[in-house]
Amino acid sequence: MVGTKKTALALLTAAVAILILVTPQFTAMHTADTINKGPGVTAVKMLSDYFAGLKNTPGDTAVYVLDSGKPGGTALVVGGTHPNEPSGYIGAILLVEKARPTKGKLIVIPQANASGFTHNDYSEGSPQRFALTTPGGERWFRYGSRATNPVHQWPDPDIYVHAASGQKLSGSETRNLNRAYPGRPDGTLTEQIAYGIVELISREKVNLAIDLHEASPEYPVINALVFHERAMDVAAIAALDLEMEKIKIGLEPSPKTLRGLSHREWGDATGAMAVLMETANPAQGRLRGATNEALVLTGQDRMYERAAKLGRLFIPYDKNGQPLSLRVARHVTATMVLIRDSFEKDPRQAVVVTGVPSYREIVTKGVGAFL
Amino acid sequence: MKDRLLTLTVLGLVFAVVLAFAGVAAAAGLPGAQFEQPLLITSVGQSADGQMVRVLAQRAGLNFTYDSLAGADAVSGYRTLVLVVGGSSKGLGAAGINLDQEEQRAQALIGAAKNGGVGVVVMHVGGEARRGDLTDRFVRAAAPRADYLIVVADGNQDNIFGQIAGDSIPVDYPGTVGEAGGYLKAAFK
Ligand SMILES: [Zn+2]
Repeated sequence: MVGTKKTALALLTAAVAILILVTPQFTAMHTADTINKGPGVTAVKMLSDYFAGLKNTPGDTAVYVLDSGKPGGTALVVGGTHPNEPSGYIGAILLVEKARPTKGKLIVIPQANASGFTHNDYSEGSPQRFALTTPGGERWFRYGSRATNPVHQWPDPDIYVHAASGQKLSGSETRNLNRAYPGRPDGTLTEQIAYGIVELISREKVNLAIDLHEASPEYPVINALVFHERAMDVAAIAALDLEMEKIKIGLEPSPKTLRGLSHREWGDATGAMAVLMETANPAQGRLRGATNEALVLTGQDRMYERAAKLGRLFIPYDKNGQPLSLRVARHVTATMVLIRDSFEKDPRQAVVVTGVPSYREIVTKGVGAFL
Repeated sequence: MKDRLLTLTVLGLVFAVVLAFAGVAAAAGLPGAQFEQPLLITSVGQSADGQMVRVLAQRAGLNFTYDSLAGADAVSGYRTLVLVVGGSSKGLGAAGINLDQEEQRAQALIGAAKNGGVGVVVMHVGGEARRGDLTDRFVRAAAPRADYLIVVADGNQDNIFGQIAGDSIPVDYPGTVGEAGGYLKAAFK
């Protein structure tokens, strides 16, 4: 077929029509998720309150302060470091909406890399969002990308050099918040976000800082807790206490030589006990089938069942999969146990948090029931 | 009536078999407190499982020292050496040592204990997740020379510890890390 002006015009019109159709979908990811202020929230700040350089940038993000008004310690919970790891940020949102501290202060950053929430990994076939059934009806949450949006930080260098150590990683890691700590005020957007979070930990004199993540079921460090050496005691005690509640969690020391990660740099740069926890998200794995909303929510995948039977996974995995509610329940319960155990030694520095549903409640009713 | 007799006979037989196995299991465990304090607890493989045993020892009120990198020269001040076996590449990396060095350290520790008449308890508390090539190498290095093995059952699904223990090493299989603390406490005078 020979092209004519007519066919060119038809193709152009079709292209414009497609563009008009998909643009709302694409830009919808820039619309922020609704996060409700729970009864314990006493102030909503922004990360730019701790590092002004972030003001009016896509890296600025909400910081929820839940202050009991009674003297005690300060605990920080960070979700959404990686916006494609939903148990972390849904767990953090649950705390914002339900937790009521009665002693000390709880600070929650549910979407640490706000820029990463504005796009998704289309080449991974990731869904843009997923819905949870809540008492108020269906509630949607974005399923973002592991990294800062390249629209906000571009281009990537061939090699990412971690500023504080000179450690070299592949170029795309430049946009990975959990390789950027302790960050730099004059660095990339990702480094600035990292800097803001470290500033917050220092200024708020955070005693315990928890970073919530997920990883693929074939990655060895899942259902695990990685701890900075200062958090060693509390990590071991919490693991034993979680075992009593029938929750198995593996302990891993934070390697001193792997730089840029929260569990290393938060602990080194501030006085906080730093820990990072991982649950297993089949939607992130290499062995998965269709990557869709259902997989994010149910965590059920035939290929992972087969892999489990072949002994290739590091967690128990059967036809029930790893549902989001189970993963959130793990994170929330482990967070509560860590907060309780970390202040056993010095009750004056205690943080006491009430109002948070139990592991069993979240698993049986589903996390949506509490949002 | 006949049916009832049959049922009773079968039940009786089942009961006898269960008792027999229970007897075997009990005989394979540690018969009583035979280890002395103070104890030196160390890791073999640098996993954080040693930290959990440290907490267990603390809760059990034992007189102990924990040093994840203790050397053979440290053994002399103690009556029992507790080796917590579990490999972690992150842990080895954090300690800045490689597999061979860690295995040599374990062998030297056990050698010093044997020379000095110090008891050797080997524990594995990491369960199924803490098995695999890395850990198994340390298991084979340490467990055969132990005087007592405490293994959280989940980590013995292939009976590697049972095979190593054979008839010569008492071994107990607690269901959880918490229960392992009970066995640890009971082992000491
Ligand atoms: Zn992550």
